[in-house]
Amino acid sequence: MTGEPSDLEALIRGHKPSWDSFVKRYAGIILAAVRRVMADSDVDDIVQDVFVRLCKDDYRLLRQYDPTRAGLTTWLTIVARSAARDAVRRRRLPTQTIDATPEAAFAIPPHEFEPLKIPAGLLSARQELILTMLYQRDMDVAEVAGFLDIDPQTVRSTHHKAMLKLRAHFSDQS
Amino acid sequence: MDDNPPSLHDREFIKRLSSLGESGADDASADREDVPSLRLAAWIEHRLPEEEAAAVELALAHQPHLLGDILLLSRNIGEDAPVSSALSQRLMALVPSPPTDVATVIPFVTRGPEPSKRPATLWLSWCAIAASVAVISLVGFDLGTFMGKQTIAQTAASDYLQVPNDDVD
Repeated sequence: MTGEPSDLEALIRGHKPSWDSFVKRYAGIILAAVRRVMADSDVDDIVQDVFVRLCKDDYRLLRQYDPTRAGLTTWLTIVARSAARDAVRRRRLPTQTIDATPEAAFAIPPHEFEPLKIPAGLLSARQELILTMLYQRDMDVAEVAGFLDIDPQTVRSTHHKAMLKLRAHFSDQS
Repeated sequence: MDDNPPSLHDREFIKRLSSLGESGADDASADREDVPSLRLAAWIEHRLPEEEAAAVELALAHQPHLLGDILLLSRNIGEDAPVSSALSQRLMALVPSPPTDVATVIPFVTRGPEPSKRPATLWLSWCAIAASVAVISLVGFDLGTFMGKQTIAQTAASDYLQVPNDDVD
């Protein structure tokens, strides 16, 4: 199947049929990933940008891929997401006078997540992430456990320990 | 230990905590995304060692956009969307086809050798040129002489017919 390391080696050597097979196999996956991050008419251009990133400078990015570390589909999904985020950042809104601005532009924007304000170094990274998912993303224990591939009981105990640390920290302060 | 976290009590505590404004992450780090794609992919597949995983988890906890995207994408990895043939062609054209192995060699068109002139032909052509010059010279001289004589005769005739002015008076 295309995308296997042997095919990738041929692709990196400049084997045109391997590139064509690679495009056929992964263009849809990359397109779906880009659409998840940005609902826009420019998605085709972003998909093209992903493939340009992959093949430019003699396949420099593709050479960095290591099949022992992650699956190609997962890695390409992350690369696609990164390209889409870059495109969103690059985009500049045209300036216009306040009179020409539609009323809807002054509406209160939808809720944007902000990082939890937890003192640096107090909690472990895993504890911070679990609290973030539980309190900011409103995920339940089963979802967090599924996402982190750990037992739900581990999520509960990690949460519990994190809350104890936080309460102890702030009771000391007060 | 909580049976089903987070409880309302916990939520209230976290809310108060956030209102204090103390944060381990500076504002700039919220927008900065410095987790390499391969490491992030490895983390999603739970293949990272503990230390590397901790670094990724800290980045996810401090970068809301990144966490949101990863939550969204990790549920749909491998999802396929239909790709238009135009886009597919564009993507395939990013890598050009190599030149074919068997090239068709088209020889240059060469001129044939100049026809060699024989001495007789050469002599004949020079003679023709000389004869042409001689004929043109003779005809020209003859024509000039004839015209000259005619002009002189006309002048003489007009002088003969001219009546002197004093005779008229």
